[in-house]
Formats: sequence, structure tokens, C-alpha cells
Amino acid sequence: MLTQGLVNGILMGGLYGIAALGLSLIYGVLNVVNFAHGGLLMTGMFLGYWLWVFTQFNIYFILIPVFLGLFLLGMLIESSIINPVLAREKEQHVNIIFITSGVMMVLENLALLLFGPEYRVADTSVSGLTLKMGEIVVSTPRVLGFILAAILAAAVHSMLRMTDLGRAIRATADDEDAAAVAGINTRKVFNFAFALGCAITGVAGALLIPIFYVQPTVGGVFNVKAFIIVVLGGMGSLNGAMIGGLIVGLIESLVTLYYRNTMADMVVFLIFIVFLLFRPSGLLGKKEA
Amino acid sequence: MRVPGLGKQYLKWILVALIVILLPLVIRDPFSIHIVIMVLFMAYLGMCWNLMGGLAGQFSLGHSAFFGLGAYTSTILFYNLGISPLVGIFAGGIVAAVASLFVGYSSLRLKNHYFALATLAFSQVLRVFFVDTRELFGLEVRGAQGLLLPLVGNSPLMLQFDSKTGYYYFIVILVCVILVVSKAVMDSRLGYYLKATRDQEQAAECVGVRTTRAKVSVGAISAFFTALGGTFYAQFLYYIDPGVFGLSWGIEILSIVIIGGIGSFWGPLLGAIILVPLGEVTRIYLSGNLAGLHLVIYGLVIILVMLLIPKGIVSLLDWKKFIKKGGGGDGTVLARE
Repeated sequence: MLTQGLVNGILMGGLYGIAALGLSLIYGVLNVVNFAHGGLLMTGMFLGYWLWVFTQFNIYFILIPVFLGLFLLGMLIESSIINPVLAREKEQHVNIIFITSGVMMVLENLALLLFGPEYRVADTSVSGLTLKMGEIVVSTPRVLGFILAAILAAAVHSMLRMTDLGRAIRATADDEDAAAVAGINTRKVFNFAFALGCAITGVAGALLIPIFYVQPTVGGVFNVKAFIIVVLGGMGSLNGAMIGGLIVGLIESLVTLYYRNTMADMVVFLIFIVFLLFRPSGLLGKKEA
Repeated sequence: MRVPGLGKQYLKWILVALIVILLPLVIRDPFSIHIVIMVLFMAYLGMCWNLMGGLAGQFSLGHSAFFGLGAYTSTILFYNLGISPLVGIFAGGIVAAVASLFVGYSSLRLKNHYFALATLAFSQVLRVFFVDTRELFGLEVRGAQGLLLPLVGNSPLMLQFDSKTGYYYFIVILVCVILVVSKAVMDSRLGYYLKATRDQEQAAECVGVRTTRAKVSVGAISAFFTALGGTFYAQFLYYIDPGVFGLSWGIEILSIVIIGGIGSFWGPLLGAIILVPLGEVTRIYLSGNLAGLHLVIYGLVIILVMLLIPKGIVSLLDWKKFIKKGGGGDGTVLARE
């Protein structure tokens, strides 16, 4: 029982981690809390779902167009909405909360308008399959999702460490003005980082298709969850997002196992508040708050 | 833009008062009066939030916590014990104010978005708690099912009215109270402390302002009045469920303030006058296939206002400053006065 709970928690935690990674990346580079995060995840889910419905390709193959689609959407949102506000207000980024909330409302209700409030379940080729490892039974899409999430996180991590673009992003995140003086086009870095954050979020949504319902308001569920994960791990820290995801996944799985489902949310929220109050910089974040 | 003093302008205000009092005689169609009530109601909540967000500069995303506590306190007392909501409304206010002291002392030292997230978390803890609670101290709460208010007919002592007109006067009184309270807070020592704290926290501390105490005090006032709005909502709809703690409430309240103009005295009213009819009318006329469209428009309006007129629509109306500065204008009247 316990091992089963732990394994499920870790698998779900990896997916939660990747679902929060984009939020943390965007915060780390642009210093912006993106309240449209859940809406972008939902958009990725719907994009993946419809591509799957119409093409019947393998759901994991569809991750690539979803990545590209959300990347473009992210570029568009950043250049048309986020950047003008950032350029105007260097210090105060509170207005970004409202403007991204507006984006969230538009995305969520546009989806509601186009697709209706029905709960859709994609019966993909992997849905319902299980793997048996000794006494533990795990669902195949969760394992695959976890592995792909880990690969994606590692890829982003090494991109940031090893490529010039990655170095430019990290330099901009560190000190925008200094990076600009050193010849980095910070405007483009912001655009790229935001788009990358959106693309990762979209892929996370697509990875959830085989194990979760597809519905316009699903974004709200993940919005709050992603905030919690990112604060737990440390705002702006990518490794922190993955660790925060694992923590939340484990808590949910264990509380559900030994107590009940609704209590899991409560426990996660309480831990979130404790972190905000005593260690707002999270486990791996920079000390700043 | 000054609030009514008893100066030379009192004739003008008597006229406004007459219009407000006599309005239900002119607007008799229930749908129109419903919209008027919703406008005043959202403006009221916006004004409560504005004390915290505009005057103190603390952006709470969790005001639905206080709203919900007000709605639940009066309704639980009424439902289980038959205590009149006229008493319950104040009980709710006190519960919310006490809760705000807890939230305030624990999270006000957090900056900007951390504070916003902490308030959001508090409201969501309450939501989950009420979803999961069927009974509290032996009183029925009924979890996710929600509470249906017992009907007692037209009874002002129970804050229930058989026509919308009763609710209209109820919300008018609340709006008048919050206007007077806002004005009183702004002109008080506390108001000056808050403005100083918001504009330059360290400087304020240096001259001896107890910044945390000032912020917590105004937070309690804001929470108290937000909770009164919660009771109004419960009485108006005869039904509440844990959705009253929902994140969307918090966001909707702020949208109205932002679109009207943060920190401005009349901003919330202006925001509500623009957004609420837009929402209600599109909801009614475009329902069915186009359900959800009003929220798309809502979102677009928020984005556009934030992009083009970040100080809110109030700033467009501020002609004197507009001419002086040759454009832009500064809508933060309450903020800069």
C-alpha cells in the first residue's frame, strides 16, 4: 500500500513539476507572475486533444506540434500584451497580475464558448494500460508522462547551462541592465523565455491528456496548483519546480491514501501558507521576499 | 472630486440623494433594477477592496475569504438558530475582521505578489474547508451542497424583501456607509499613515509610523465591510455554497476596481457601471450557444484598459489634470490628494 502510494505520488509529482516549470521559468526571467498559466495548460490540452482526434497519431507524437503551437502563442502574448506593460512599468509588476488574469479569462471562456463545458476523455492507445512491477501496479501513461517530463526538464536545464541562448537567458534573469550592457537583446530574451515557458506548459497539458479529463476550466485547477508548487520549490528555480511538484504529488497521494481526497487539497494549501510565511523564497529560491 | 461635505454644494447632494431614493419609482422593470442592484453591489465590494488595495497598496487576491465568511456566518446563524441576519451581518463582519487580523499579521510583511498569493491561499483554504465541512459546532453547514436560506416573506427585520426594491435600498445604504467610511479613513490619521506607507514604507517608518499596524487596521476595516457584502449576497440570492470563496470572486472585484481606477474614490462605481451591465446584458442576450462570451469580453476589456489606460477610466474623466498635463491624467485622486 505505502510503496504503491509513494510510486503514484512520485509519478504524478513529475507531471505536476513539468506543469509548473514554465511558470517558474517565466517568473525567473521576466519577474512576472503569469496568472494565465492554467489557461495556457488548458490550451495545450485542447490543442493536443483535437490534433489527436483528427489525426489519430500517437499522443506522444502530438507533443511536438503542441510545443510549437504554444511557443507561437506565447510569443504573440508576450509581444502584444506583456512587453508593452513591462516597458512602461519597470518596478511595479502588479498590473501584470491583472493583465494575465484577463488573458486567463479570455482563454478559458473562449474554450468554453467553442467546445462547451463537457468533460472529454481521450481514449488514447495508452489510456488504461498498466505496468506491473512486482506488487506495484502503475498506469502506463503516468510512467511515460513522468519519463517525458523528466527528459523535457533535463533538456531545458542543459539548454540553459550549455548554449549561448541559455547563458543569455540566465544573464538576463540575473541582472537585466547588466545583460543589456553586455550586448544581450533582453527584449528578445524576454520574448523567447515567455514563449518557451508557454510551450513547456502546453506540453505538460498534452502529457496529461491520457490520464485527466479535458475541459475548459481544468486550467483553474492547475493554476493554483502551479503557484503552490513554484512557491514551495522557490520562485524562479527550475529544479525547485520539479522538487515542489514531487512534494505536492507525494502529499496528495499519501493523504488520499490514508485519509481522504478533499483533505489532500487542504493539507497542500496549509503547507503552502506555512512556506509563504516562514520561507517565501521556497526550498531552492533566491532570498528576496 | 471631493465627497459630500456639508459645504455650499449640499444642494447638489440633496438632488443626488433624491434621485437615488426615487429611482425605483422610475425603473420598475425587474431586470433593470436587478442590474442597478448588481452595479451597486459590485461597486460596494470594489470600494471595500480599494481601502486595502488602493489606500494601503496591498493587493489582496483573497477578499473572497472575507466575503464568504460574511455570507456563511449570517446564513449559518439564520439557518440553524433563526437569528436574524440583521444581527448576523455584524457577526459576519466581526468574524471576517478577526480573520483579517490573522491574515494581516502573518502575511503583510510579504511583498507584492507573495502577499497576493498568500491571500489567495487563505481564501482557498476556507473554500476547501467549507466544501469538506458538513457540521460546525453542531450547526449545519452542508458542505458542497450549500445552504438554502429559509424564506420568511417580506420582512425587513430578517433582511428579506419580496421585491427587488427592498434590496435596492439595502445596497444603497451599504454603499453610502462605505463612502462615508472611506472618506473618514482617508481623512484620518490612519489614512495619512497609509498613504505614507504605500508611497515610501521606509521613510514612513523613519518618522515613526507603525506601518504594519496601519495596514492591519485598514485590512480589518476592509474585511468587515466586505463581509457585510457577503451577507447581502446571501440574502439577495437565498442560496450560498462554497463557491463564494472562489478565486473568480476575488478577481472580479479587482477587475472592477482596476478598470474604474485603483485608489480613486469613484473608480469602483465607474468600473461597476461599465462592467456589470456589459456582463449581465451579454449573459442574458447571448446565452445558449454563446454562454461564456460575456467573460471573454470582460477579459478583453481588462487587457485593453491595462494596456491603454492603466490608471483606469477615472483618469479619462479627470479633465482638469488632463488639460494641465496635456494628456494621460492621474486618476488616483484618493491616492494623491
